[in-house]
Parts: sequence; structure tokens; C-alpha cells
Amino acid sequence: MVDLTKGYPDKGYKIIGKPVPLMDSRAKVMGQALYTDDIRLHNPLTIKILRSPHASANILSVDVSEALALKGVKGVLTGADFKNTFGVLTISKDEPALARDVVRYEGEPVAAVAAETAEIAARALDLIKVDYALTDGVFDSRKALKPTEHPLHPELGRKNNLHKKVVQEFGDMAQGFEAADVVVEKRFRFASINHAFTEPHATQVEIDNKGNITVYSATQVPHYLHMAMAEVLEIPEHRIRIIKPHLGGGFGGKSDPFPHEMIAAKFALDLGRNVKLKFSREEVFFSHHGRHQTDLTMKLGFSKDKGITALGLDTLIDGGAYGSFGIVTTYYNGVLLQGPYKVPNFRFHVERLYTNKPMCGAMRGHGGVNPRFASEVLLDMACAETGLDPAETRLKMIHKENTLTTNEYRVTSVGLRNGLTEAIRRTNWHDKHDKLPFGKGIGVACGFFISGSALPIHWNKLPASTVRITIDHDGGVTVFSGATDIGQGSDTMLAQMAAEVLGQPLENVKVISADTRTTPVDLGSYSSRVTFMAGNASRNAAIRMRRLLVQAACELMEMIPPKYDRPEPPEDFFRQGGRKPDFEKGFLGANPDYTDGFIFEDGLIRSEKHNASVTFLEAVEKALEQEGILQVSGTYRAPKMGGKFKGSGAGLSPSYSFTAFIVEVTVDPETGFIKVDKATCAHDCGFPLNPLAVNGQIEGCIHMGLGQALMEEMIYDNGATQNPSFLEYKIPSAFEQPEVDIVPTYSDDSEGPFGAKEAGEGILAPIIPAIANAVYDAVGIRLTQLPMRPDRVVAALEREQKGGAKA
Amino acid sequence: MSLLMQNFDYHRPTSLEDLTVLVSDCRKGGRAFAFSAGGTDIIPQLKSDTLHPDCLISLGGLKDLNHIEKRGNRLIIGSLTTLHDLANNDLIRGYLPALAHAAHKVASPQIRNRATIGGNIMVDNRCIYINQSEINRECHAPCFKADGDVCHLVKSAKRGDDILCQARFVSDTAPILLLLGARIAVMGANGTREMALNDLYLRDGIDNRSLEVGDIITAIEVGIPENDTALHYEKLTIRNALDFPSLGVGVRVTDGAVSVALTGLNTLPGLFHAKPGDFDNFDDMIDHICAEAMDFAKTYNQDFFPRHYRKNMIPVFIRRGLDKIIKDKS
Repeated sequence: MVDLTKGYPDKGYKIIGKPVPLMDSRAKVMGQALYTDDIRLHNPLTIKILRSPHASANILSVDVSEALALKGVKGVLTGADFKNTFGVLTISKDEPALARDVVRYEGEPVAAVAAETAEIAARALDLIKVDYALTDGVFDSRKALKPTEHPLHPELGRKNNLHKKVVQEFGDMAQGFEAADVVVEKRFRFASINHAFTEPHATQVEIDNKGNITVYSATQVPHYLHMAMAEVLEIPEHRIRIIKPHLGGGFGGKSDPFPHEMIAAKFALDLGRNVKLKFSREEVFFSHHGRHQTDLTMKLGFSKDKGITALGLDTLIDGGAYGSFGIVTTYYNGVLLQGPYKVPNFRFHVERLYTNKPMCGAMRGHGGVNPRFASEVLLDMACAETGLDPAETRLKMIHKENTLTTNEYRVTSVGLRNGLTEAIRRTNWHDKHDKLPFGKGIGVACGFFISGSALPIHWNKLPASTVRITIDHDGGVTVFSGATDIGQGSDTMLAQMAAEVLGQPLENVKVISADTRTTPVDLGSYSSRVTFMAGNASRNAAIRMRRLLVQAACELMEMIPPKYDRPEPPEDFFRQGGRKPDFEKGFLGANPDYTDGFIFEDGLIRSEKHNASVTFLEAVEKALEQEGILQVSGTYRAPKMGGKFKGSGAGLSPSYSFTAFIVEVTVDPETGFIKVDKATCAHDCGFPLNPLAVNGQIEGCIHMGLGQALMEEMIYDNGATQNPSFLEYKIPSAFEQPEVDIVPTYSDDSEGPFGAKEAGEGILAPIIPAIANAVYDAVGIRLTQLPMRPDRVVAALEREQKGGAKA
Repeated sequence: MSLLMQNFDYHRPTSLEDLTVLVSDCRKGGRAFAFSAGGTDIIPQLKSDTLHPDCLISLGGLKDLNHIEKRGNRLIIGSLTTLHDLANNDLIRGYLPALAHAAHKVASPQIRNRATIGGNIMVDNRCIYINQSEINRECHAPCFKADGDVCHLVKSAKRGDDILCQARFVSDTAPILLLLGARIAVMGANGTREMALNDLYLRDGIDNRSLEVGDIITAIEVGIPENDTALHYEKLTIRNALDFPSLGVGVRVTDGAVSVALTGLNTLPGLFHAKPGDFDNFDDMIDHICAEAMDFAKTYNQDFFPRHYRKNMIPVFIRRGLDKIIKDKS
């Protein structure tokens, strides 16, 4: 067995930093884990959704009478049954549960049937008569900019299909380009891609005799679903309980409230029956919410001495029919370029357009992946033109610790320099780059990502995450958290926090998560926020619990309990533009030190000073005497940060992760096939809480990045999804996964739980430009369009041979 | 759209006699029927509603049709031999390694465990506009293969024109079998007959096999090539697993003569021969056969790879096959 802790500092932790298999992995492998569709409610009705075969049409009429008359059909819903539209962002609640009057994409839900069996429901769908009048659709973001009398969303009052436009400018662009030794510019194009998670969407709803519903749903954000559902159904939240069962992958694709969830709940409420619904793979592709198709022109100024002098980009992103997370995506297409290097003069202009295609939304690396490709390719070009080594140049340019970016992000821990240095050494970079035979290449690229969005997408003053911990009379610890384990392992992470602080073996800690009735509010699993935010909350709760137990132990040992000072974070960590963040009262402090003069181990609580101990159980019993239950909560809220300009909150995070990839490829110049031979990854996730889980995320990101780089794309023909299946939508197979070398890389984040930062998303972006840069090293072509299909490689090589006509 | 299995009667005869009776009963009752061998091609069609038999007859119970044997200098392959067995059988690997390789290149282990050689040479022609579920087909006007009167690949085509359905031929095993001059045994209402595999394939993407309704292929027979012969199959797919061939090229070299068989490029397989005496030199011969093969290709944008790329890869794959054969020999 490989020792996965090798290369990381030993901090004396017992659970933290150890490779721990995820708590639910055995159940999943054995087929015992219940996913949403595995749950067996009593006598449920089956729901089927009728979807529009047209991408753009007016609905003249919907006749459901024959469907309703079919024996076994219990109910039919149409757009007229839902008054309120919804959306994950309060500022773009533009999606109806069922289309009313107009359909905006092929596959949009138009009507739904609840019936005693799936077969009856399917037959009933055939009996619904929808009279459509086809209208001219818009399928291209450039065309969507053009004036029209009939925009997709007339409620915005615009005369074109613009959804959101963001322009931000910092510094002096003209001066920046002036100061550059070289200016490079290119247009890049990116296909839309799908998350392709294993478990299709599914929802089941159970109703009790008082009309309260329990919604089991494959969702990343029970809390947002809870709020959206209450609003759409016009019932109070307390009548709704959302439970997320085991979940088979999200990657951002289950982080919106969905029409089918509203439909299922509405049927349960209307009919007083339990209901169930699941998607086919095709329906998953229709629902999409994947990465935006992107058309991006970027210009980079580079100086041999000063690094990047200016960076500007103009971008169109194709949002599809509805808003989803699109406003956030629009910002992220710009702001996430503020790392991993200093960009002193910076301008971005991003526009999101509505088109008659399935909507796009959040997907792993949200909004940052495509611009990262462009910037890392341009940087490689600038290095080539100035004769600098692209790896050493990057190494020099990486942000220093505790700096403020041009757009006033507070960058605290940075551990990438050591990692990239080691990656350069391990790959023999200097012996290979620019020295390999034609067809073989090596490339480098770096990335940067948020560890959770500091600001909630629904403005409120609640903590970003709250965790409750209880201890039973027999010493069993239970962690209650709204954080959503979507396969990334957050339950295991939460348990590790509590187990470490309370000195308990991991198996003594149980986690109950993602249930709006029993767990405190957490904003959900998106933007790589869970480890940092819920992790800190769990740690803080465990520290509070530890104090109660120390108190009880001291009473039993007749000792004076320790006095706890509220630790103050060191000033320079929070300084920003001369302002000190203002911490809320209950804030426990960044990474509070819980050394209290006691050691929790082997079932004992021992005083370090005095030769005395009590058992953990004795302390628990003593502590229980007072209230009968032993329960605490812990919270996390991000420090106050950010500049004083409009849109300064986008991309603000309490900490940022850094990644570097060195990729080696073989390019077949005749067929254009790119084979990724090896990927060496250095990812600064702060201190890795669970190296096994971190490595899993790295391998997964490589696989997913490989897909976007080489083959994945949503193909549309006038709005019709042409490849809504895993046969025609090409995800790399195991054959394509390269050899992976993971360089132990770390920093000690002063605010992350036990020093940790994110490891789920930031890794994805740089693998893609690293492949492109390796292709350049191999055969001398710059690929500017994803996926880098073999035919595009061949075409670029032909252009190159013809005398380097513009790629 | 529901992807629910449709209703049909299901039969699984265990002898050819029972099968004959079943087929004749269906005929008499005017009931449409379809055969299923491994089911890997037909079950998705039933689920996506492109096929509506009243009766599905599984051939899986016909154990007699699952065998591989050597008779003199010929190999007889029962039509129900799975692709897994074909790829791993000692006789096939020993005498026809290119066929074992081609069988191994089909889809995935799970599919090769079910799919049969008979099914693979009979696999229905495919098009991105028809091999879709119902809702997606509804989005476009019904095409020829969906009893409509347009072709989304040849936009100008109208039913009644000479332009036929362009759904493409995708069998991975056919090229090598054709290069081996395979013959097939067919059992039908009037008994058993034999024919060349090459005569099985027709030009129309809809009615693309020359069998009568009710005919089944019982066996495939190929001659064991002499020592002067070598074959190779090369397949173009973006992934090294799972996919139908975007292009498949079989190459045979016999005593200097070269034959090429193509799949994935037209409504039927292509087969071309050239012998050295007709050309000034080897390169001319290869250029000629490449040009013929490229002429034959009727690629449309119905695949992951664009049409021009697939066409341009034909000579690349032919030359690679030849290189491989020459390299293996030396």
C-alpha cells in the first residue's frame, strides 16, 4: 500500500490527515446504499412528464381530457396549475414548473401525469393533445444579441435576448499593454458540456394525513429547494421536509430547484397520495444545466520582468432558455482570472444570452474553466514568444501569501510554489520541454478557485453553516448538518472533524445530514464551500462539546476548569484595504486553538498537568445530569471582505485553492489523436484532511477535464439535442485515463478547518490548457476550440503546414 | 420518451423445429415478429420505439447454433456464438486473429458477453436522426426510416427520388469476414440455403439485408487462409471502447494482392481488390485502392467525427493496416 500521508507534515492528529475511506463507500459498493429511486414508499403513483418536441413554439392549447379519462390516471398538471416561477437565484426566477403559453427549449416540461403505474402514465402522455404554433428560435449567442421583437423573456423589457451583462475594469488597460514586451490575443470557442453524473434526477414525495410532505430528492441544495418549493406551492416551509438520500454525483447539475420536484410535490398535495418520479438519461440531457457554450476573445500583455501587465476579455456565454446560476456564471467568467497570478490591469466584459436550448448553469469549476483555458494558453504563447520557460515563469508569478488581488480578493494561504517546483523536478521538465521529438510534448498550466462563496446567493444574516452535535448516554456522537454529501465525502469530513476534536474513533461518530427537518441550515454543496464552511462549523461545534466535557471531567476530578480566551485572529490575515473585518459576536475565531490542558484518547479524558483522568463516558454522564441531553451547535461565517465597487462580492471567498498540472502527451499528426500519457498534479488544498479523498478528487477532475478537453460536447441541431445518451455523448472510458502522479502539496490555511481548503473543483480547470500546451510542445499548433477533436488537430496542422495561416 | 419496454409476446424456442412452427404461426396470424439473438441491438430499439413487433422471438434457446468448429480447412461459426467467445476462442485466435481482434473491438465486455456474431453481421444500420428516442424524432419531421418523407442528411431528398435512406452500416466483424470470403447458412420457410456474406448487404439504409422475413442465419463459414495471407482490422472511434465504428477498415494481403473492406461509411460494407500485375508498382496499387475506397464513402454528419475527416482517414487506415501486416510478417 502506498503511504498517502507521505510528503505532508505530521501535525500529531489522529484522524485528520489520514487516508480514510468514505463512510458510505462500503454500502455503495455492496448495493446497500439507498438512492432516491430505491426508496419504497407505500403505494406511490408514478409521474411522467410530457416534454416539448419543439425548441421554440407558442402553446395554443393543451387538452388533457382523454388522458384524465384513462383508467388509472389520477391527475394531470399543466402550466396553468403553477402560478409562481422560480430559480435558484432570487434575481432570476424565470423558470416555470410547466411551460405556460410558450416553450423555450426542446424537452421543456409541458404537462405531467400521475398514474397508478408507469405504463398507464406513459400511455396517458400519448393522449395529451398540445397544439403548438412554431416560432423562430434563436440558437446562437451572437444572433441572440441582435434586436428582436420577440425575446425569450419579454418580462425583462429588453429588445434582444441578453440575460446579464457584466463589465468590470481595474487599473489602466492601455498602460498595461504599453508596458508589455509582448501582447497576445486569440478567440477561443468552447462547446457546452454536461455533468454526466451517474444517478439521473429522481424525486419521491410522501404525504401524511395532515397534508405535510416529505420530499426525497436527488439534490445538492435541500435548503434552496425547500425555499423554492414553498414559494411555488404557496405553502409554508414547515409543511415541507426535504431529505437528500444517497446521491450519485452532482457536479453542479443538481444544485438548482427543478420543475420535476415542484411537479411531484404538487401532485402529492393535490391527490393526497405518495408519488415517485425518475428521469431517463435523455431527460437528464434535456434538463442539462451544464457548462455554458462560450465564445471568448482574450488579450494578454506580458512583460519578461513584471509578468502579466494586462488582461482583457470579451465573452459571450450561451445560457439556454432560463437563468439558473447564469448571473453568477457571468461574473465568474471574469473574476476567477484574478489568480493564481497578479493581474494589475484587468478588464472583462461578459454577456449571457438566452437561446432556445436547454439551460446552462453551474458545473464543476463554475464559470472559471473556459477563461482559464484561454489565459493559460495565452500565457504559454507569451512565454514562447519571449523565450521564457513556461513552468519557471508561472512559478515566479504565483501570488504571494497574504496579498490582495487587484479586485480586492484577500489571498491568504498559498502552497503551490513548493508543489509546482516538485512537479517540475519529478517530470524532468527541463529535459523535456521543447526538447522532445515531434509528436511528443509536455505542457504546464495553473489554476485558482474559491473555497466557498463568502456571500450567500440568497442574502441573509445567518451563519454560512451551522452544525449541531449531540452525544448520547453511551458516548455515541452524532453530527447533524445540512451539508449535502453528493459523493464527494462531506459526511466523512464532518465526522473527521468531530472525531479529532473529541478524541473518538471515527466509527463512534454518526452523521445525519441534508434533512431540513432535523439538520440545521447549510446552504448546500456548491462553490466548493462545504469543507471550509460546514467543516469549520463541525469543528467549532465539537470544540464547544469538548469544553462541556472538560467542564464535567473537572467536576468529577475536583479540578478548576480551564479558562477559555476567545482567540483573536492575527491582524494581518484579515486586513483589507486598511479596514479590519468586523466579526459577528458568536464567531469562534479562525481555527480556534482547542488545547485545554486535557488529552482525549483511549476512552479517557486525561489532565496533562495532574496525573488524573476520568473516562469519556463518565464525563458524558456527568454532563448529561444537568439538561438530560448533550447538545451544542457550531457555526461558520465568513469574515467581512471585499471592495467597495458594484459586483465586488462575486468570487469573494475566505480562501483560495491553487493548482498546477504538468501533462505529457503523444499526438498522432496523421490522425490528430491526442493521447494524454501522464498527468502530474500539484494541488494546494491547504492541509489535506483525507488524502484518499483528495486524491480521488484529483483523479476525478483529470477524467472530467479530459472529457471536456478531448471529446465532450452537447450537439444541437436547431435546438434539438442530438446526442442525449451515453452512447453519443462521449465521456472518456477507462482506457483514456492517463497515468496520474500526485505531488503532495499543502499550505496551512489560517482559517480553514485544520488548515484545509477546497479540493473538488479548482483542480479541473488547469488540466485542459495543460493538455493544449503539451500539444503545442508536441506538434507546434495552438488549439483554440474545445473539444480538441482529432479532426481539429489535423485541420490545425494543415493550416500550420500551409504557412501558419491564422488558427 | 418514457423508455418503457413496450408490450409484445415473447417466445424462446429451444429447437429449430419449434422456431419454424412459431414463425409459421405468426405468419398465419398476420403478426409482425422480430428475432432477438443477444438482444443488444434490438432491445434499445424496442425501448426507443423504432420497432414494434407483436411478437419477439428469442433465438437464445437454440443451443445448437452456439459452436465453433474446424472442418478440414474451413471454420464453421454458429451464429449464436457470442462476440466474447469469438474473441477468445483458440481456433479463431489461432487461424483468424484479425476476426478475434475485430470482435474484441465491439462495444464493451458486458455487451460482448451477450452480443452474437450473427447479430453483429445483422446489426441494423444506424443514423443519428432515427436512433433516438421518440421525442427527439418528433423534433424533426419524420424521416424515410420513420415512414416519413424527408432525409435529414440529404436535405434535398424526397421519397420517391433515387436517394435512399443513408443510415449507415456499422458491423465491426463484417469487414474481416468479407475479406475471408465468408459464406452464411440461412434457414427460412423453404429450408436451408447458402450464400456469400457479401450478398447479404443491400444499398438502402432501411431494407438493408437481403433475407426474407423469417429467415435466420444459422452459421458462418470461412476458409482458413493460407500462410501467404494476412489480415488486419483497424477501427476509428474517439474512445477505445463502447462506440460503433466511425470508420472501420479491414485489410487483406495475399501473395502481394491487396483487398480492403470498409464499414461505417456507407449504407453497406465496401469491398475492393487490387492485384500487383495491374499496376506499375505497389504504391500505385495502394493509391488506386485508397481512391476507390474514398469514392465509395458516403459520409454525412451523422457521427462524432465530421464527414470530411472520416473520409480522409480512409487512406490513413488502409496504409496503417498494410504497415501492420508487413511489420508482423517481418
